Amino acid sequence: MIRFWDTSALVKLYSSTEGGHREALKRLHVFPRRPVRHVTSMIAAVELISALARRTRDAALVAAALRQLEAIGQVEFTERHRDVALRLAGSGLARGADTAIAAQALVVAEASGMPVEFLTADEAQSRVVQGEATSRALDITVVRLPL
Amino acid sequence: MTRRQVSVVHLRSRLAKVLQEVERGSEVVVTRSGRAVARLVPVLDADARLWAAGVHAPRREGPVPRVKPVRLSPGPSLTRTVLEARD
Repeated sequence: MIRFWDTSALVKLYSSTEGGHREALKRLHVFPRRPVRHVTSMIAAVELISALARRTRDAALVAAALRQLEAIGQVEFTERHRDVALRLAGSGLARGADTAIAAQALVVAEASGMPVEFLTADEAQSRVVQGEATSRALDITVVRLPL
Repeated sequence: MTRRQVSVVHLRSRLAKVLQEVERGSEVVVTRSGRAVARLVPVLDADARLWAAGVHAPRREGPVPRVKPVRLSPGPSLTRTVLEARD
């Protein structure tokens, strides 16, 4: 199984007062029965580091987050992802970076043939991914973490 | 991925050799009377399928290291900070 982390889910790992902090930690560090590959987007990696640096001004935390990201698979943004993202963006249901990351998760589910669990706290993005997963019969479970 | 064409007649007489080529990563288009009718492609393993989907393997092997969470100063949560930047 692939566990695909949106930025809004990843960011919950770094502050104990975030809604969904414990759940995010559990999903990253507790080993389930079947093997899990943790994956995020290269765009999400940049969003995460930007949010941590701006909000906390904590260089040690940023460095620790960068080390953590090195142990997580990252999805590049290719023409294939762009084409899906442009189609989703044209629907007017989501915005910019969240649409690009949603498109990456959809392509990963389609191309890998593996079940994907998509973790997000972004309501608009979760609706887009859920809608696409249903209409295209993709094996994606959307897990909406609290704000 | 290399790509070549073979006729049905050729495929019938050299099936094992053609499949060996496909296993090594080649794509073979099968033609009948000069017209393409089928395509033989390798069955990819999980890592190759992920690579095809644009997934780069982690730079560091092993479990994801733990990070000690911080206590935020008063203000928006980290999640809100991400979502506000998207609006």
